[in-house]
Amino acid sequence: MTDVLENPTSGSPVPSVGEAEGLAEKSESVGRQAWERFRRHKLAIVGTVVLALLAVAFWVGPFFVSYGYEEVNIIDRAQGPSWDHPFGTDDLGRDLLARALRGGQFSLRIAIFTAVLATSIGLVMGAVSGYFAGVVDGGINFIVNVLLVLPALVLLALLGREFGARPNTMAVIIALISWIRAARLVRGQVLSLKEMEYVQAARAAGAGPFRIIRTHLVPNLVGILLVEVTLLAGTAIILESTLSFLSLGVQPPDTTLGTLIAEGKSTLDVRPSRVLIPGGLVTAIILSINFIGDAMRDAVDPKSGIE
Amino acid sequence: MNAPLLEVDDLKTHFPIRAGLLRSVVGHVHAVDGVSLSVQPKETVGIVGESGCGKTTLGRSILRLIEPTSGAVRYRGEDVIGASAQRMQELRAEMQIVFQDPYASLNPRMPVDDIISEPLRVHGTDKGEARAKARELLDAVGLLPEHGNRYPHEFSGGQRQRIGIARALSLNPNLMILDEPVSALDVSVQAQVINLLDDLQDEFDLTYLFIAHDLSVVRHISDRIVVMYLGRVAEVADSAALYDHPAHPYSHALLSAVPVPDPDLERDRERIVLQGDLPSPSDPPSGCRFRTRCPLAVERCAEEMPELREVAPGQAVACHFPLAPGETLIDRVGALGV
Amino acid sequence: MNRDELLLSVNDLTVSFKTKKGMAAAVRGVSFDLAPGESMAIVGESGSGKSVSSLALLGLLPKSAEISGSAMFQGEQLIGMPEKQLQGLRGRKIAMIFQDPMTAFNPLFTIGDQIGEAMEVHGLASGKEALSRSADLLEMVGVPEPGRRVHQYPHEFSGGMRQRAMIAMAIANKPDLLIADEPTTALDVTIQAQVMEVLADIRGETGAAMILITHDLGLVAGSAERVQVMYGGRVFERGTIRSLFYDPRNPYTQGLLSSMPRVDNNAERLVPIQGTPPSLLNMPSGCAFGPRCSHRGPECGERPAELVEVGIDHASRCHRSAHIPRWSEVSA
Ligand SMILES: Nc1ncnc2c1ncn2[C@@H]1O[C@H](COP(=O)(O)OP(=O)(O)OP(=O)(O)O)[C@@H](O)[C@H]1O
Ligand SMILES: Nc1ncnc2c1ncn2[C@@H]1O[C@H](COP(=O)(O)OP(=O)(O)OP(=O)(O)O)[C@@H](O)[C@H]1O
Ligand code: SF4
Ligand SMILES: [Mg+2]
Ligand SMILES: [Mg+2]
Repeated sequence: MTDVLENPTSGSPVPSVGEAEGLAEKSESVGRQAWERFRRHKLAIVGTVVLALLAVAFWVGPFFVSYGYEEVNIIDRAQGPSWDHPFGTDDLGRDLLARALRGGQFSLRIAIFTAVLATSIGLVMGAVSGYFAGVVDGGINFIVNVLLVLPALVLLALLGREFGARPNTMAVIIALISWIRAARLVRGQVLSLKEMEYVQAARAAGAGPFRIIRTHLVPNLVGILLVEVTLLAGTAIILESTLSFLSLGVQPPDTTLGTLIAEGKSTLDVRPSRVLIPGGLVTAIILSINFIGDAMRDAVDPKSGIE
Repeated sequence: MNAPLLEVDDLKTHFPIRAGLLRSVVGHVHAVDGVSLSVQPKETVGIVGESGCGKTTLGRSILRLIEPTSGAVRYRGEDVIGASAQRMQELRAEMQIVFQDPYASLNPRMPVDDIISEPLRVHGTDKGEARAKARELLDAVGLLPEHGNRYPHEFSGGQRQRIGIARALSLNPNLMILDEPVSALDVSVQAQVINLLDDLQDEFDLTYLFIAHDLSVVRHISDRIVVMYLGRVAEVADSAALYDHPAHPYSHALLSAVPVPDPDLERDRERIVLQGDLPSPSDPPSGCRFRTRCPLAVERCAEEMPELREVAPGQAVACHFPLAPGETLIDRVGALGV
Repeated sequence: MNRDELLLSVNDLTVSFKTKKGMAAAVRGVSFDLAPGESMAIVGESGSGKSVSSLALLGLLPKSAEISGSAMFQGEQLIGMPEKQLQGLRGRKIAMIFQDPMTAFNPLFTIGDQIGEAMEVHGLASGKEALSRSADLLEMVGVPEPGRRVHQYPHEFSGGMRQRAMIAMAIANKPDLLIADEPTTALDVTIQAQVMEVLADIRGETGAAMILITHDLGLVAGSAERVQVMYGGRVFERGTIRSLFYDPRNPYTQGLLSSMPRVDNNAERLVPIQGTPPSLLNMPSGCAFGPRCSHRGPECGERPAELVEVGIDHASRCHRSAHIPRWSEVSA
């Protein structure tokens, strides 16, 4: 390096400009850097822990609760929190702790499953329609328009009747009607991304459309997709409870957090805990997912440097 | 003369202009409108012209990154426009492109190793080998091989442009289309990249099609220069000849408008300031494209489109009234008594 | 020159920005004088502090900027002047021409309205009169059919035409100082030639002084009387254009000149400056140009050099001025 500096007119050896720029010699692995960026978000760490604890509670908790979620007990009906029933009981005397855990299982499953599924469908549809102008784009646009015209609830109800209201089917059904926003976002992004010179460079190298979508477009879409996942998780929980409220969702005696909130509403004045507890759980789930999404967006963005 | 490496024959690329609810085509942008040129092996041909005259579109149409509307492109005599997808993929290894914008031309989410080795991976090289080659190329363009696992944003503009060059080199191309490769760089860094391009040309026997709007840079790097105006070629000449005695009124005005870092020369120079703006390529003037701004234009210029014809060995010009060697536009205008 | 005769006298102007990663000193002790009617150029690479130093004069920097030093304009201190008072100066005594004429105009109003507005805010003309004067101004800067053009919107103007309209707006109130920040960088050379010609004519007519900010040394040679070369927030060399182009004394200026390809002669090979310009947050200790300088000595890494006179109206900031070969030897 120094001999180059002392002899700049010779011009022959190409100096390593990297050194002059002061880039450090060593660099951490990609995964490690991503983890460093994730870790900076304290709230995301909290969110991860909360979500993990909730999941454990929902799936393992029922084994430690002495009542079943469907166990009716007319004598103990409509009670407030007590040692025996920490969350109280409902109008049929069912233990609300057991029901909250059961409901949490379903709600969490529906939220995550729906969000991931809907976003994936949206990604594929949006990327394909954005990248290939013309016929493909037109076809996808048609589907989108049809879905927009059909009232979502009616569609959900019909599909629910047809395929049974199991949590997984519910998730699939909700996903099938809620991928549109993701698809539109993705399509818009792809339309501008595909004009970027690095995409042109890949084409110049002979790369085909699917390689380009996979290696150049999708990684640059991760940011908006993660935002979409977090938004969709919330929407799914709410949509599901609306359906359950209309008795089109998960069928009793099974329950979800949304259903529990709906049931508790009538006695909000006397017993706010019936709404506050499942409401709190829903909030905790959505906030945790939000925080994690935020941090992941940063983690996958190499530009958000590590201070 | 040997067989040319690249021949472009009456190439046209028109973009449809759509308007209205039904997005119906209401006109066309004549971005490239009948360009012919040829490039010899190991030669550097510069393409200059003002913004919007179709330089980028020409470069991309040659590589079929944009499908041309009509005309022919031949690489070593082989038809490129009609090549099958399979054959095109192979041809792409021989013809590569470097882009103007050092920020937009590198995927921000990819480490530099992957960026440089992508063309190799597309062409079936396995990962380890591609990576090793990427590191070699980093070295060849004057970067440190160990910086391969970094992301583009960690590099300066000039360094990024080196990365773009390394990527274009990865498939051992013969022809490189350089679309304003130094326009976005600071002067001091620009010279580094120009020298690098010079060295690489010798080292890898490259042929360059060098697109730029900066005439000083083009003069420095090119053997021959193509001056474009509104989608067409105004003049083609050896670079020394073009600067010494431009024959097209536009070339002459263009050259005289370039400032030189020499106060006395600047003061004494005859400067031709063209009147008016570039016409829109969606509605180009009839006849000679330059006639709306040309101080020499007469009726014939509006009626008849001048063809590119040779006025001296190696110098061709598309003008009905080309300037003779030694004659300036000002002499001519004076003689005409305009 | 007598200090009282100066139009503008800038002394030790320093600007730092508060950023997340610490203070970024963008301008470090810039001083210069400008006589009425004089034309001075500031050249330098991207990030050298050209724009920031001129924006600081007009009080146009964001709140995160800390400004110190002094700038006397016609006997008034610009630094720390209350906003109200600055507004009275801006567009009237000092006018600015920006690089991007598109963002300088509001797309929702006609060009005539906006030039008229520039006069109205200073109470110099209004209504019909403002409009007819706008048309006159457009004519002055060479916009064809000014009577029709005043009623057009910015998007109906081409880039070169917009730039001319911006010059028209800038001279609407006959300012004493024009600050042109890269006025032609976004334009083609033939349009650049038109715009520079307009600027020169206008200055000839109004007698306004000009600070021309550019990175193009060629442009400077033809359109300024004095130049200062900036690097890393400091003035590295200052002088008349003749001294700077024919006898540059600073290694950075010499480096810039020898790295430029020229249209009028063809060097076999360019001599670039090695490395890249420093980042504000990571300024080299000592001379900012040190790490890239081929004449660097041990003192260069220790402390920044002072700007010292090397000739009549010619100063260079370099520890090793005595050892720097003269340009006639370098370029031969
Ligand atoms: N995809 C497109 N659709 C429609 N018009 C286009 C498209 N690409 C380019 N054009 C138009 O074609 C003309 C030529 O553009 P091109 O980018 O080739 O010019 P250029 O000479 O490279 O200019 P510059 O110096 O600004 O890069 C311009 O008028 C431009 O607006
Ligand atoms: N608002 C701001 N906050 C923080 N830093 C800033 C701000 N404005 C400018 N800077 C920094 O100050 C430095 C000088 O900027 P300035 O705009 O003056 O450069 P310049 O010489 O005009 O360059 P260019 O040729 O790119 O216009 C730059 O490094 C820039 O990043
Ligand atoms: S053909 Fe006519 S208009 Fe065109 S350049 Fe020649 S003289 Fe000018
Ligand atoms: Mg271009
Ligand atoms: Mg600036």
